[in-house]
Amino acid sequence: MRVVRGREEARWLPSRHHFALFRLAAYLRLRTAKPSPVRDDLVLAIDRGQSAFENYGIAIWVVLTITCYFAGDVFERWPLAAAIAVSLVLAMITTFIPLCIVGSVRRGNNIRLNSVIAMTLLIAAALYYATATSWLRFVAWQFLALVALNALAAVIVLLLRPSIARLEATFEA
Amino acid sequence: MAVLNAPLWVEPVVIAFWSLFFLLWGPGRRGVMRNLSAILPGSWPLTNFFRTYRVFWNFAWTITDNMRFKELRVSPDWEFVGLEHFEELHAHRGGAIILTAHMGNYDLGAQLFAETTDRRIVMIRAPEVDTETREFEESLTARTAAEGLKIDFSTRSSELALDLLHALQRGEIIAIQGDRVTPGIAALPATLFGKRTQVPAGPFALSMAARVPIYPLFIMRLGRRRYRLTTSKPFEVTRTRDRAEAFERAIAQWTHELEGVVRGAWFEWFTFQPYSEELQ
Repeated sequence: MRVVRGREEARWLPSRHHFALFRLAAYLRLRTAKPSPVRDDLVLAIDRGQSAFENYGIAIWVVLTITCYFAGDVFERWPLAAAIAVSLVLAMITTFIPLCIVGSVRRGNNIRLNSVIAMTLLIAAALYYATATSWLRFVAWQFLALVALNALAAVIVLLLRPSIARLEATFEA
Repeated sequence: MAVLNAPLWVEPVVIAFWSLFFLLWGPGRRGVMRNLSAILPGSWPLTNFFRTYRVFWNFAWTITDNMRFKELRVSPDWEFVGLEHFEELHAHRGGAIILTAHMGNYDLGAQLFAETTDRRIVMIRAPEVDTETREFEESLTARTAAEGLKIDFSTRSSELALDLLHALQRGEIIAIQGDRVTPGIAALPATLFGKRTQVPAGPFALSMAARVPIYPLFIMRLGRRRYRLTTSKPFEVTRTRDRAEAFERAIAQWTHELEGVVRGAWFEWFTFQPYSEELQ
């Protein structure tokens, strides 16, 4: 269990973020952050899932994307409001169905496996809808664009690894 | 188990969905709504209905954070209020009582406290009503509890009282929830948000018998993986000729602390039954 005590700006440690895009943004934010006064009353954990903005943001993005797929495809003929309402609930359920299946057949820590499965399914769905003629192709393309942007950020983060490590080491000292 | 299967970015979706369970659990939902009507006088039932969802949402997150810490050793971020009292509790060499409530993440707080001190902590809690849940909880506790943490259940009150007295005399810390009385537990009358209720007599009687201070301590969830640990000024239940008056004074101090905290964080007071008969 790694923690940083008393330093507000440690919220921006790249190690507290998961996806490369957010790690890169955190690194840039941390480099420009002014050192804040030491706070005795603050303990920040170093874990890659610590960012609320990142995780809520991705959760909302994924659910809205799946909602669009349902509303624009399965419930295409329904009135839009009803289609969106039903699709939203279905999208939430769809998001965690693969987890329930994997969890029921494989014991232990499946987080990484489930993450790979879920992202693969989402990319497959985006590739499928990217060729559609309806408005769904825009939804699919924005998804693929963000995935590509994250891949690009991953390359940059990889190149910046020594610099990130040096910056983070100042917090562990 | 969800914490071992859900990628972090799926977690909010899972929790948002399953928190809708409040629609199916009528007694729990009504219990929270009635409590809210007393905590927030003049509040509308419809608003309290949606507030109840927030209570369930927070409850689901605190369980998740607790499980994640036990299974994956991932801690949330912490902020401290009343740090001087918290440090005083750490430094206090004799026995002490931590009086807390069914708020935020008291389980996680006890685990972390036990890991950051060389003191032994005995946490007293009500057992789960459902047999299967109780068995699961007991096996999980046996597997994951911190070395210095012992969890005891409030059902065996008479023998437990003596055990706890001895523990306090040995200089151990006892953590008790003082906002809810379970059947078979000695209780004292109190007033909370203007309604008559009862609080467990145990912590106050132990403080008087062992002459140890009571530290009101609350662990509140501020947001995703963010908690605030609030420690208030300690108080003692001093022995006087009039025991009833001494208890009354101590309980008034406790309920004053509790009201202040619950009023500010009603969304994480996990009391699913009306806390007063007047609210039935």
